[in-house]
Amino acid sequence: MLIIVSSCLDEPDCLRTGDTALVISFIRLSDHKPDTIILYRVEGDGADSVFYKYSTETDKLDTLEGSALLAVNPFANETAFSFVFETEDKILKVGYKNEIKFISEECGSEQIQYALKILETEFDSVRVVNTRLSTSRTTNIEIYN
Amino acid sequence: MKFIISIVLTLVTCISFAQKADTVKNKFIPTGIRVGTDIISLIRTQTDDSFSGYEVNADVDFYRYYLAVEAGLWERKFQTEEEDYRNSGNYARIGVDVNFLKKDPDKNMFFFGARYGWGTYSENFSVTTVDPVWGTNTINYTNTDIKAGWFELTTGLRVKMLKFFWMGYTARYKFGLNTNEPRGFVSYDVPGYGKTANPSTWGFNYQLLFRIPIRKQK
Repeated sequence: MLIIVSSCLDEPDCLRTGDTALVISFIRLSDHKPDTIILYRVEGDGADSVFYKYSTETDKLDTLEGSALLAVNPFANETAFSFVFETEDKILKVGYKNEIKFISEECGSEQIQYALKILETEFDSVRVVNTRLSTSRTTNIEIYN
Repeated sequence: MKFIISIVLTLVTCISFAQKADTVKNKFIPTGIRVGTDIISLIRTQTDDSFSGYEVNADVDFYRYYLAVEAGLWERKFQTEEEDYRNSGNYARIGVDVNFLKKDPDKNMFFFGARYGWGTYSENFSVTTVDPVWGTNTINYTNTDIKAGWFELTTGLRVKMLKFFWMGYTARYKFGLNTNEPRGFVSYDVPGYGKTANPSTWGFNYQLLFRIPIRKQK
């Protein structure tokens, strides 16, 4: 009985908090409120996918309101994104560290990206507000226009 | 006359104290060493594919206090389709048990005690990750010569079965784990402790012990 109870207590939760989603928010410099921008696409260096979250309210696929959800490369320590706007392209290269954690045979493993930093950017004003990528999907990087 | 009486009384008092001191001193001289092994580890090695190891236990008595020393080897292996985790290492524990059956002539024990445990181990984790955007990749992570330390509160029994043969169990509450692995690969399982995800955990040993007498019990 003691061994059975002990075995149950020994099992960790399958809770995961790590995520490869990088949340980028566009902020108006004038009033520090979410900005609505025309963005054709975002390309990740080394990935074919085009990924960004579009506004459902405006029903325009090229209009980004507030924040974009981008996936960083979990197999590297940096990812470069090209933001393709109506009139120009801009680069944002981010660096981060990877950490692996084996949870259990049943739950598998989870990878965590932390220590996020800007390595290179063509945006005028960018700042990291949250260095850890997580399932809570809180803003990691703010870009001011 | 008064002087002689006071000298005699002083001498008698001194001799009486000296005898008491001798008796107390003798009580703390060990009467034997018990050496044994944990049979749960041996059974698990045969029946559990994910575990291999053994543990050796020894204790020596100082009146109702027992200095306990334990050491073991531990290997674990967990495999799924995408993941392969393995570790191997050794561990030891040192501590004191206090026997609450102090008047038992056979020195049977019901004890409470404490331990400090430490271990050295290496672990390897290979994982194949399927990412919807960045594709599939297999990465191998390794931690080498990691040191760990933890504390334990213990309780258990030791019962004399035959002249030199003893059996007993030890239940352990383990806590305060500290490991020194670098960031990048979080340690999963520590030899002697168990899974690191648990800030505290339980352990249980069933021991077979042989007692080697050092001197005759009074």
